[in-house]
Amino acid sequence: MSALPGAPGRTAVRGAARPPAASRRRWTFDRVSLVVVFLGVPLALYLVFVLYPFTQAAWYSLTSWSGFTATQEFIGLENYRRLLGDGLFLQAIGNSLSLLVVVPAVTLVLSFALACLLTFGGSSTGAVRGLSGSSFYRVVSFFPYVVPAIVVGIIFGRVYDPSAGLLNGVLTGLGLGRFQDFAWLGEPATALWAVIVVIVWSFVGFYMVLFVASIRAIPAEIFEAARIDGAGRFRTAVFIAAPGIAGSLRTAYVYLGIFALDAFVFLAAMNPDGGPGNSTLVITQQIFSTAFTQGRFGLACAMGVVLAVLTFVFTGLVLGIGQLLARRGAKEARA
Amino acid sequence: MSESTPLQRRRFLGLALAGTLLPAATAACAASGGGEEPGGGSGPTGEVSDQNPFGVAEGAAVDAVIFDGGYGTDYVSFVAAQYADLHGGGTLTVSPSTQIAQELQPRFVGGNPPDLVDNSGANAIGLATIAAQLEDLTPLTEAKNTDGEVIADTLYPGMLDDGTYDGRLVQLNYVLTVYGLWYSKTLFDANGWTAPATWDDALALGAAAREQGKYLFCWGKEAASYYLTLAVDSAVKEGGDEVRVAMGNLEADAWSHPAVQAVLGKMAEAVQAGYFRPGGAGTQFTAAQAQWSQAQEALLYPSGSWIENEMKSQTAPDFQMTCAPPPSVTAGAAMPAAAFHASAGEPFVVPSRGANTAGGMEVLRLMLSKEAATNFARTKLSSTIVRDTVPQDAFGSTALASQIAMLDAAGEDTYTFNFNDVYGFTSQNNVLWNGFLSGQLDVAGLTSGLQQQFDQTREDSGITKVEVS
Amino acid sequence: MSAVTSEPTRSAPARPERRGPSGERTVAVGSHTVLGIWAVLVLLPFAWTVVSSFKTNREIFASPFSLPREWRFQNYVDAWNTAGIGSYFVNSVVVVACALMLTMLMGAMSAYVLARFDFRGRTVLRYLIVAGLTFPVFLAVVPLFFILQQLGVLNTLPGLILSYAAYAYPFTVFFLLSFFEQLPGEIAEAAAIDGASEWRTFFQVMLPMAGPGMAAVAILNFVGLWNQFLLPVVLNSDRSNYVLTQGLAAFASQAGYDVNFGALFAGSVMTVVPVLVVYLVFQRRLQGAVSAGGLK
Repeated sequence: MSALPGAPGRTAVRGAARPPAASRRRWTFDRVSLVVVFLGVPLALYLVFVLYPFTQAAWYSLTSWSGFTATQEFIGLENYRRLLGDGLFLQAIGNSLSLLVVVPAVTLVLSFALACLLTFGGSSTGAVRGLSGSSFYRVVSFFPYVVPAIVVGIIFGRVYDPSAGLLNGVLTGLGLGRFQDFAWLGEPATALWAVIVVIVWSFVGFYMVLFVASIRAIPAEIFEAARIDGAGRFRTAVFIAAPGIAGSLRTAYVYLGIFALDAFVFLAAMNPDGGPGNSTLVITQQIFSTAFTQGRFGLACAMGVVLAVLTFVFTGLVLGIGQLLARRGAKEARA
Repeated sequence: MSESTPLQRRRFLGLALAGTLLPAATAACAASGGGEEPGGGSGPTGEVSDQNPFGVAEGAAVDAVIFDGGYGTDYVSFVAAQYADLHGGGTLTVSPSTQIAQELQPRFVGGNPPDLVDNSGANAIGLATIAAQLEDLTPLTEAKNTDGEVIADTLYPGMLDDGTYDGRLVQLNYVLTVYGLWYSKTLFDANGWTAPATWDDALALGAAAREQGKYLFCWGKEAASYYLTLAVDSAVKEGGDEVRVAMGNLEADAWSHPAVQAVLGKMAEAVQAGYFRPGGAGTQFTAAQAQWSQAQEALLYPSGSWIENEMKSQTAPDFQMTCAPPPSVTAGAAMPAAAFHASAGEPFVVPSRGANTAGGMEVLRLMLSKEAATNFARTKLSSTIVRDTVPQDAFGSTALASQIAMLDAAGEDTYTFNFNDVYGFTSQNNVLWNGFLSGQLDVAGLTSGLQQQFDQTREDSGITKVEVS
Repeated sequence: MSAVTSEPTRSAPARPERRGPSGERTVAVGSHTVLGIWAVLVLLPFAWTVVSSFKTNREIFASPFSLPREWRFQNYVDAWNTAGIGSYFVNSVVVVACALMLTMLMGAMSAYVLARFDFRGRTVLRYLIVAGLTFPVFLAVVPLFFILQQLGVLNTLPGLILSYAAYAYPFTVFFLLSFFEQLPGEIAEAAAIDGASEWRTFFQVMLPMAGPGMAAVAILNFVGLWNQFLLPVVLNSDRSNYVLTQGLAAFASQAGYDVNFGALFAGSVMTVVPVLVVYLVFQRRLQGAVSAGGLK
């Protein structure tokens, strides 16, 4: 079995398949007190600080509340009906879904590829062909992860500056004159990609380090067997390493997906208004401006409920598909 | 320090922990979250006199949340000593903020807003949202300032127009703002150029600029909508008050008005001719402004008069920043050449449920005194709405001097509009205008985008409208 | 790229080479090239930021590459004075560290019970906790504001710590659940036979065994808490209590109005450098934790 603590697909939501040993014992005071305290104290905090405010917000989504008055007027599902006809909101959903698909995929492929290079892209003679100097690369790559997202946003806002930015400086320096004054964040064709690059850039290193650990956890004999069968590095990566760390990949996918649906901080720093033709407008930005600059908190809460449902469906899908694959894999293994 | 911890509310703790999962119960809870004194702030408890027109109680503290932007907050703190002197040592606490809406929202809901708010900046609260919870400031304008003059008589004309909502004066914009085209008089004199009176003049100037490798205009992504302001300013000048009224009331064909279309057409010509410096849609706005004030790659920049203060560390030496009225389309425009867009910025409001509303008004009264207004003009190089606080030399500022000259020349011929702020259009305006100025969107596309925004808002019964006349 | 001493790879017996050494070397060179390019992509923006932080505005606008004519430390003075980054940094460290400990402890306790005890309502509780992962925070902040007010911890660091911990809790439980499920039951049984109470078993046996997983989740949590922006903006408006993200946002907005890009770069450097130092000092342990979290 691979993987970081997660691999939650199998068991996190459903009950454990086999009741753990401890649960079969009698309910003594010792056990009851532990359960009550261990669940009770955290859940109390969770109820008061998280669930209660969310219930409240879900209730607001059925009102025409401006967000600044002491009372709310109940209007039923009117806000949701309004959202269906709101072109801007639908566009924001589209953009968020693009991020949801692209950011995790690119991040995972890139970090997995780099992790493979580090673990068996070297010329050493062992079964695991580790690369010399790999710790240097790991240290460097991990670094963006610890920089506050707002700083990353500020820095890249400057990097992308059309006339004084690093990127166009490099490109025109290489003789690509047409990038003189090219507005990466201001052209509909490039804006969303420019944002995606920044998000991916800040996450790849962390997942690379994670995957290196997971790949090293795969029993060496499996790699050995593949080698004897004559598998090259690419085949080894795709057919041995990737399935071997499926749990880690799934967990990472969920986490990145939830993050991609948010993405607020990066966009607030780089394209606060929605970007060219609203091509970088995401749901969270739309919620934010609806709630605070337009003073339509009820409507914003309805958007929030939609986002919550999307996130919930996404998480369920990834975990559900993961579970399905794992089950089929187990069957095949038995056969 | 902006929030006193209400110890007496701890008794609600049990309630919050126990029965709060039922939405109905919780709604009631949030609604009553802190409003123990319904109906608003303390009435006058001090003695009302000319020196204390609002009856501030002896020693009453004032809690002010002030937007911390281009003007800072020291100009409000400036009157703290005077307030303490007049009112038995009462303190004025100024809390700077750049996130006005987020910070104050719960305080409005909870019924304990500050006594005075400068509701400005990118995260300001939409006026329509809180108008009903604000004090009518008419008594303030009717009161006498510290020099014994009635305040309304000391202001430039038209300065209170934007603050009226539903027939009540709910906000007072403190800083006089002159909108127009800004340029370097030094540069223009050296080349024998003059500020354009019509859009054809502007296009000719653009051609001259290109000959020198310069551009006519530049823009930044967060401030693309400055060009909307310029376009509307020009169109109102060309087509007269009917354009302004149609815009203000979000009328169905407001953007198709011939005067508006004529201006947009001229601007599109400038875009096509390459008179706009490329890259603006991806450039941070102050960086773009520095292309005009520092590198002088562009000749003109449309802006309000905050521009001088905003760019003061980024202006080339001997720039002689100067303002000109917006160009008209033809020489036969509905308004005279000297007419321009003047309004006031930095909207101050006094929430009705503040603990010391009289104190909030009193601080505004002190800020509107000759002394405080002159201090503002001297330190910020901008005029307040109070007349005659800028000396002849304008503290050595050519920008300020040119504004005063424009005001004198225009007399009553100034106008204003504020539909963007009222309805929160600025974000989408930026999106549309970035597209237009970088050539991705033509006049028809821009028009339909702007009109669509109008139509949606007008037909949305959930949005309160402000009638403009 | 410099060659740091090769990592001790897993104990793999030396095998005879299949390919010739030159083929192997080509692969290694290729790997180093790709990773080297990546390292440059990571480092270049930071290096550029450091250089730019010493330039005047005029130099910044003139050319992205020119070195500053004179190294302007004034930018750092400006950023420090305007932003008060030092105290924001301390606040951030205090809040994030406390919240992290609290949420890890609570998360581990709940995950342990939910993973290893069978009782009615367990599945419902699990769903309830997962639901907390899905909702955007900023719709919750207004009700949350009143809760903190009623508890008397509004605008205080403890209030912020409790909120941070509560919002990281569902995530923590979610990721620790399967970890506790996979711990071998025999050890707990052995402890029980030795007469250890459930409480002692958890704190002295199970929790230490979960250490690597805890470390990995803690690192994931860290970045979420470190970047938390809206909770402090609404719940912590007292400037002396500002955390770094708040301070930086306020600073970026002010630097925008002052048009001081040098100071903006300098402010960015000042927030990054302490994190960098901490990271470099602890990187071995940090990566060890991530690795250990993966090794099971």
